[in-house]
Amino acid sequence: MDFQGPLPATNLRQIKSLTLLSLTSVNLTGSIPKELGDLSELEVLDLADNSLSGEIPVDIFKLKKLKILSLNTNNLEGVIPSELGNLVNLIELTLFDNKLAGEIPRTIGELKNLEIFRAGGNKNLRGELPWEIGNCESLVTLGLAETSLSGRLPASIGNLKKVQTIALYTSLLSGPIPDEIGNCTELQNLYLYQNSISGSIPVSMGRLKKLQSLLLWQNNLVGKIPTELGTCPELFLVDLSENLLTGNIPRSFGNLPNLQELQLSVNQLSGTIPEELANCTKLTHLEIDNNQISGEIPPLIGKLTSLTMFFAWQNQLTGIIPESLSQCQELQAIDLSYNNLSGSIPNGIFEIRNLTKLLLLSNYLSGFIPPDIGNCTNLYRLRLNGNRLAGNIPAEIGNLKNLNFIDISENRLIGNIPPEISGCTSLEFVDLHSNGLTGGLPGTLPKSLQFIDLSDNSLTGSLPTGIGSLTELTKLNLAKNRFSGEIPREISSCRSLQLLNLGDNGFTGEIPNELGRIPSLAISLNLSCNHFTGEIPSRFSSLTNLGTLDVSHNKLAGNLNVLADLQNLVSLNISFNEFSGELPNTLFFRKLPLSVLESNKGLFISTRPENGIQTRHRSAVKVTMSILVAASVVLVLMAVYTLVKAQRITGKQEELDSWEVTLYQKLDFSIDDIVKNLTSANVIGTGSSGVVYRVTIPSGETLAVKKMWSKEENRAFNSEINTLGSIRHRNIIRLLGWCSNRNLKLLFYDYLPNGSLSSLLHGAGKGSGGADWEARYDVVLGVAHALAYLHHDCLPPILHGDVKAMNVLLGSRFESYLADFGLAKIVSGEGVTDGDSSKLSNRPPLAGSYGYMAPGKIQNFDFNVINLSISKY
Amino acid sequence: MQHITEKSDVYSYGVVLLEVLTGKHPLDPDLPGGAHLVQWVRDHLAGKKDPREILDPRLRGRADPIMHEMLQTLAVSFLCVSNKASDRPMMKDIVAMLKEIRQFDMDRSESDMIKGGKCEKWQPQPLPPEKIVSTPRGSSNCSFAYSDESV
Repeated sequence: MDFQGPLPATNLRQIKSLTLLSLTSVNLTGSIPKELGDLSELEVLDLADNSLSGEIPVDIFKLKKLKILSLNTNNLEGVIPSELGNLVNLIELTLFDNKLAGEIPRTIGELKNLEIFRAGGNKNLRGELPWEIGNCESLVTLGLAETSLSGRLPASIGNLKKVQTIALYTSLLSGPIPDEIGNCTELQNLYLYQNSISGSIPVSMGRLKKLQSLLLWQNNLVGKIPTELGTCPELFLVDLSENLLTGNIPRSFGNLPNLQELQLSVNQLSGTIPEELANCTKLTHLEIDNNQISGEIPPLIGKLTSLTMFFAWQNQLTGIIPESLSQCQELQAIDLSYNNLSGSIPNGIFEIRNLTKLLLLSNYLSGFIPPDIGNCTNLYRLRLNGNRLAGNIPAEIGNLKNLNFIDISENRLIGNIPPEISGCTSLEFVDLHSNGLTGGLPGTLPKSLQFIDLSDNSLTGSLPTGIGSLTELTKLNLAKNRFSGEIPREISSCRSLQLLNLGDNGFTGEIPNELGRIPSLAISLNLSCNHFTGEIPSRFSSLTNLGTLDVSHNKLAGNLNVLADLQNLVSLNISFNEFSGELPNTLFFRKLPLSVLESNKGLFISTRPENGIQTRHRSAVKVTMSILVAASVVLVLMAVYTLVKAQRITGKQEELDSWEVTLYQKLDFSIDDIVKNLTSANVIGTGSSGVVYRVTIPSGETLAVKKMWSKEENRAFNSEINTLGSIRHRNIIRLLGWCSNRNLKLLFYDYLPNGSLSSLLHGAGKGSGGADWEARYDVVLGVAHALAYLHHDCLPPILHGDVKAMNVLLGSRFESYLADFGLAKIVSGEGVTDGDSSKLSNRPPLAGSYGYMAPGKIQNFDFNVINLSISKY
Repeated sequence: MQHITEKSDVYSYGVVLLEVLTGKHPLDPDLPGGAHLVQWVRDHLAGKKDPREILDPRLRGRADPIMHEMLQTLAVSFLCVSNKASDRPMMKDIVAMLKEIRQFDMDRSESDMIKGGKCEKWQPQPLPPEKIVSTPRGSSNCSFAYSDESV
């Protein structure tokens, strides 16, 4: 049936003797007619799952004979009227999934026959659960989840002798669980997760002999897990994760023959894994990660033959991984990372046919990787990095057609990279850095590869031409090996390459012109410490996105003119070569520290007077470079560093204040040019951490200058520098540089003339031209590109933390630029840290802008470990 | 402790998308009942009302293919503002979806556009129904991942 309209009120009076009216899921709209209240014989009124709106008419509550009232899954608004107490015969009351507001009326206690009360999914239902609920002595089901109910659970809940299910999850409850819960002896399901419940888990719960599911995760529970829970024989699901629980995992859990899932992650549990757990042979999920559990993994764990997930990472486990674990043939995922496990990886682990994820990183594991690994054909992700594994990489690894990610870096592997690895046709990520691998690079590698890091090994031979078939490859790091021969021209087929590090090898010959044909090459090109000869190829002038170029310690000659127009260059090292001619006369080159230019006998520099920044007067004194420098080479990764002494006049007193200045771009101005323009007339906006000025420097260029609110704004200042300073994207605002002294911290950006997305949408007097759909689409697509770059292309990933329309700035052609990285965070090995990577933040971790922030509790489920530190580049 | 994750950026991005589509500030005081923009849009769609009505008046009245582009974008924004972080897509997928919206439009045959033929292929996704109250979505294991999940 599909009524597609309102209930016809006028006809209702003619059916006064009606006892049952059921119109579920028939697309009713409009409000509930109050005339229904005249059907005085009605026992069942079921209007569930329609689109009814408006308030529940009070007249309904005149229907004294009503036993079932089902109004769930509509759009009903308003409050639950206190007249509810009139319906003394009511057995079933379902109001869930509406938009009801207000409190639960105390009169609910009048409903002595009520067995089912469900009003969850009403986000605006608030206040405490009334004490009187304890008078509903027939209650079997109490459902009030996903509401805004607050305060504590009333102790009167213990009077509900028949209650089987209490569902009050994802609400705002606080205070402890009352001890009286132990009187609810029929209770089977207790769902209180995602609240702010405090106190400890009542010992009295041991009396709940019928309890099956106990879900208390994400609360503020403290104290020990009561041993008495082991006396609830029906328990099959226990999830106490994300609380503040201490003490041991109770041995008594071994008495729970039906237990299937035991989840105790992210607490402060200590002691050992009790052997008795091995009695829980139905256990499928054992998740005890992120605690302080010590001791050995009991060998009896092999008895858990139903186990599919075993997570015990980030604990203090010692001893070996028991061979018996391989008896758990149902296992799909094992994560024992970040413990102190030693011994070898049991061969049998790789006989587990369903295993897809094996994560054992950062332990003290030794021994060999057995050839048996080839049998583990469902393996998708393998991380064994940061151990003491020795021996060869077995050729059988080529059988792993599903393998996507392999990281065995920082071990003691020797021998060749087996050519069979080409059989891993799904492989995207391979990291084998810092081992003792020898031999050459296999001629054929999986075409799916996106990331290769083989640095810091002893690999030899030449770079195979097959490298050109890796069209998905974004990062290739072969530094610190013994590769030789020429770079094959086929490398230009690696169309996605962003980072290429061939430094510290024995490469010879000329740098192929084709390297300049990789427009994606934006992050870094490192060819240092090889035996390259000839000139820098002319094609390098096309590498306009490149940020870092290091060709130091080769035998390169010729002039540097080809580099003069690389606009994005942030760091350059050409030292220890045979370059000659005049250094390009641009600010970038003039400001290069001499250490990155040293030992190039024929190189000349044109200089200007010391105060050249402030004057346009130019002299043409040429100085020979080779006399200048000491022997050490400093690899400057991000910034050209200069110290400018500027005089600042404060009041009557003249004081010398030292400015620290870093510029990532060629800019010609003095600090004074900037400071004198920081006037209220030039203010163009305010960000989360400072005021933004528009400043035109003497060269005619216009900058946006952000002055931090106070000198204490270190965190936001450092966050902007640490994130923006190291990245480049066409939809992310360019940080041109920064300067600071004791009193002022300034950040320089490109000036964007068309305001923000917010002003475009909401501002007055803007032309509608920029507000049409096509323009808006381009803006949001640009922002998506920017965020995708931050999340997926930056290693470690960067989180913006304050995405909002005001932080989307618009360029001259209304192209979008994501700005304001004051709240940005870099995901690092220790979890998520502020962009200010110098220290972990004490600031509340969620700080974005109200109105744009995700609701509720946000779980830090994503990033616990990333071992790829930025310093690798 | 609550932490910012990639998925919180995704949520905020979803709000920006909604703001662009509706022309309303997320905390627009004129929204009925002082609701948040996300809630307002959610309620509107849950009420099975015409999604076009929530579009910025300045965007309405365009040709059908363009209107569909906007509604498809609305569907994407809805994924982004899912309550459960794990339901939100990753940014790279969002880029792919947005590109496809425009791509799809360009692939449409000329005659379709002239006829103003309706394209029902990309209706905004229906909202997931509210969780039934006494069947909880269960334990936290969906949210607990591995020691290295984000690489």
